[in-house]
Amino acid sequence: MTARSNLLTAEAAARAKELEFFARTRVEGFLKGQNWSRRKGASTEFLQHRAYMPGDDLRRLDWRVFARTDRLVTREYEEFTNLDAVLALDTSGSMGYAGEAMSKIEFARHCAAMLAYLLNLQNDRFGFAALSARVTDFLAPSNGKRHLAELFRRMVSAAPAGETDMGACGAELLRRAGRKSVFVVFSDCFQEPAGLCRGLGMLRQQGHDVLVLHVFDPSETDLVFPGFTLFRDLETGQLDGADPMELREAYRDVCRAHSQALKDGLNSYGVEFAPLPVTAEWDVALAELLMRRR
Amino acid sequence: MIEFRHAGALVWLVVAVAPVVIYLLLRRRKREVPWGASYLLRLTLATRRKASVWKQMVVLAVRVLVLVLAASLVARPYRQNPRPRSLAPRMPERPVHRVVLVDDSLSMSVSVGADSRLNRLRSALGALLLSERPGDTITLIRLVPERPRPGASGRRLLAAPFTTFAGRLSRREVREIVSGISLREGVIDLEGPLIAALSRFAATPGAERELYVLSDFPREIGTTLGRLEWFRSSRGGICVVPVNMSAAGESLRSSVSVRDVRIGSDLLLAGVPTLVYVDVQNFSDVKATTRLRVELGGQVAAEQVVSLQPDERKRVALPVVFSRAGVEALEVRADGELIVLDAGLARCVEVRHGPAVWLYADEADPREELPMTESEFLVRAIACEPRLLGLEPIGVRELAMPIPAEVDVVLLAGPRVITPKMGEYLTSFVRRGGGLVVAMSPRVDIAFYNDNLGPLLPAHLIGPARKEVDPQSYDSARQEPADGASELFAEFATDRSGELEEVRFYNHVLLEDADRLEGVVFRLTNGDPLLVHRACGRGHVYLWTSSIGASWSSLAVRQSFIPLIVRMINAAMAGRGFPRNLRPGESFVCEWTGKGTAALVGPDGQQRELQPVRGPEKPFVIASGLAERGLYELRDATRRVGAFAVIGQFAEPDLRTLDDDGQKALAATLGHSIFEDWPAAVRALGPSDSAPELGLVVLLVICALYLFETWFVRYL
Repeated sequence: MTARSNLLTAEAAARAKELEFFARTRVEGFLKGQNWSRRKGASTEFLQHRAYMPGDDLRRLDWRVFARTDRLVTREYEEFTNLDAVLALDTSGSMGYAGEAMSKIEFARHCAAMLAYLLNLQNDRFGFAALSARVTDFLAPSNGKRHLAELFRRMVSAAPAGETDMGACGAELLRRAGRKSVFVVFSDCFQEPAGLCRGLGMLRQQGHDVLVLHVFDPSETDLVFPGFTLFRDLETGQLDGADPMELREAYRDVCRAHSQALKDGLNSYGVEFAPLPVTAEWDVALAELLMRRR
Repeated sequence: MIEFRHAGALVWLVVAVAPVVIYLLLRRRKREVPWGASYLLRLTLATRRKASVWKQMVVLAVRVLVLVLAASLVARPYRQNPRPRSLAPRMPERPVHRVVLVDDSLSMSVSVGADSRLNRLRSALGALLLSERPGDTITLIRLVPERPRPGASGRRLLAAPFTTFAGRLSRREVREIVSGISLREGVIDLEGPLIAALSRFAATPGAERELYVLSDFPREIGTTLGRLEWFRSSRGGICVVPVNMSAAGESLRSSVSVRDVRIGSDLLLAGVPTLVYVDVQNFSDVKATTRLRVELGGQVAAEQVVSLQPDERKRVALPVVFSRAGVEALEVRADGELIVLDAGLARCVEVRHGPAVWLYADEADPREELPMTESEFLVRAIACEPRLLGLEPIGVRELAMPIPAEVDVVLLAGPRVITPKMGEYLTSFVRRGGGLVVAMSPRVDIAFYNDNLGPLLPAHLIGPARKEVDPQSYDSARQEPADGASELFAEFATDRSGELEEVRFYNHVLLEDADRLEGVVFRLTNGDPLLVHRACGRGHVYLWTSSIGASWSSLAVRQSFIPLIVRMINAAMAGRGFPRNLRPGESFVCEWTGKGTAALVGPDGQQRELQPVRGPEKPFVIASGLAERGLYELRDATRRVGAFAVIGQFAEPDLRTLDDDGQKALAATLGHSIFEDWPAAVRALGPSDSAPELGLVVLLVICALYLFETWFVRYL
């Protein structure tokens, strides 16, 4: 519970109870839930008519249609089920950058913890994956307080290190994913946009719902340092010398172009993309995001 | 060259090293920061790194330059030797009235390369005009007095015109004023302009008074400085600034000027070599060599190279043969003239083929052992060259009646008797323009000559100098210097050929008052006149006091015999022509042989109509009021009928500045020595406050550099 108390405040837990998290695609669950299931069920929400097939439940025959058209058709209804969500946390070294606010990984942990808490409240199953150059840790989806505590523990223990390779991570997540799930990726996306989009797009192409939450520090999008500066790469340790005054405008342009490329690339795969600046209150920012998503 | 009024403020230049120091410190104190977005940083660096080094250097240089300029701006920069156009003396606090005496004489056109004295004057004047402020006044006075009109008398006291400008002048106005200064021929006169300047100063009593004299101060004014003594006591309170507009070392350039051209007569004989005497002078401080050319109808008729020592004047004789009858114009030019006038030194002569000459001599005395007339040698000699003279021996009958107008000259070769009737007709002939040459012989009866030719003869005849001719006792001839018609006979002068000096004159006729006699062309070595000239009416009389035959002299057997006779006839027939080389103001009169009205074309190309005047026999044209030097042409509707020239010496032959004594005298008069050039004058007076102007330029440069740096950093 120590990890929970660190990651999730009482205000955040209270705010999570007012929120809902849905998959935007049809998922596969085995319990009743709030998400559209890939299966047809017996709910009150009519889905479609279908030609009668031998073995179909006669209770679902639409006698009125039969009376009018002399054809046997059955009625199908939507099935609502719970979802499997994997909270994928980018644990590459760049996530360890901390500006004036908290570090990006810390912010991402809080958000992921709040989202896990919400999923647990909704009886959805949630898992965890730590991503860097590969999937360094994976907790299969489940639910329950014990599972939540385990997830918190793993999140806290996932320290930022290594480089980012979402392409490799996406392929590995695809292998590990069982049913059609929702992947919520917390990442700063400091990688070539094409590779990142390709890796996460694979998940989406296989029927999974993918939501990329772009965790970024606004100070990273601007070079505010005076004078000549050596920038040490948090992922590789490489030093790059530059005069921020000289590069500022060009750097801003590169940042804008990178962000736009991410957005366009992910949208082209049907992947949802949303920015999460670390300067905001994490619970408020996530709550607003989920409210908008509804 | 740029200098600074507050040079001490240049210590602020040290701030210019601040960007360098900051740059070096920043490079030295590398700050290391952990950075997550190195991927994006490297993307940026990949496009910027190549250019970053030199761009940093450019930015650094621009920033240093901006600070240097800012520091120099504090030090108030100004230009030490700006172009004269922008060079103006310091303006006094109070309103100032500046009177500028502008030398507009033709000598200001002298140039060294493309820069002339006039250009320097225009630059200085332009600077003065541009520096005018509201409340200031500037008056321009020309130094060359207006040329007096022919016939006008008296001397102008005030120089005119003068022009006064008040207040600030636009650049366009200044340009118009400066370019409007035109040059005139004439010697500058300081007295009138100084009086005018004082009168102009009196019109602005409350203003500061500055008097600028912009001139080349030619040597000719040295003789007039004595008339300016009054100015010493009148110049109180006036800042006098005399500035020399001539360039340094101009006196070391050779400057040759043709001072005069003399031919001796305006009526010449065709085919006879004639000497054109050209007076040329070197007006420089170095030895000069020039080529003199006599051009006849645009063609070079004669030329000669002449070397002249500094200030040396030479008379050069150039032989010219006029082969074509009619009116001819010749021009004399010399290489090395700093000022070449379009009019040049032009002369106009009328050329005629062999004149009609009557030769009257007594018959040969048959009692002599070798009977021969006085004209025997002459007739035989002329017979060899009949084209030279139309010599016609005559008898007493021809002279006993009026002499026809076709006869140009009558030559009396020592006849014994001149009858009263002959004297009467000869007098009438001479008064109407005919020429008379009277020679003596042993046979002449002096009384007849004195009685019947007295009005024509230059002097009363006394009698033969010797009773008997002694071959061992003789005199030689020498030319009398300084005579109006002497150029025709100059070639016989002792110092030229010596030929006439070789002639032995065994006897001659003595004349009364021989020592004080005017018109003597040749004298014998004993001082007695040999050839005497006298003008009578329109004609000319030449008295040869010895014989032209072999009786009293050996002239007839010398080579100079025929040339001398031809010259005497040429000189005597001068009355048959009209004066064609006039002084300014003289009138030209000649027969009008054209059709209709006459058109007079002046040297400037301007044309005016002349109405022919009906004379007793032929119409005449009269042209008066001629002041412009050069060649004039008389034309009718179809052709050139005649020509003449108005002659005169160039007013400013010596283009050098006053010598040291003259400059001292002028400085004593004006109260200030002559500044060597305009920048020197401005330096002495204190240059105008040009720092704001230069400061504005620096400020603009700083702004431009700042904008450039901003653009460079932001967009490149």
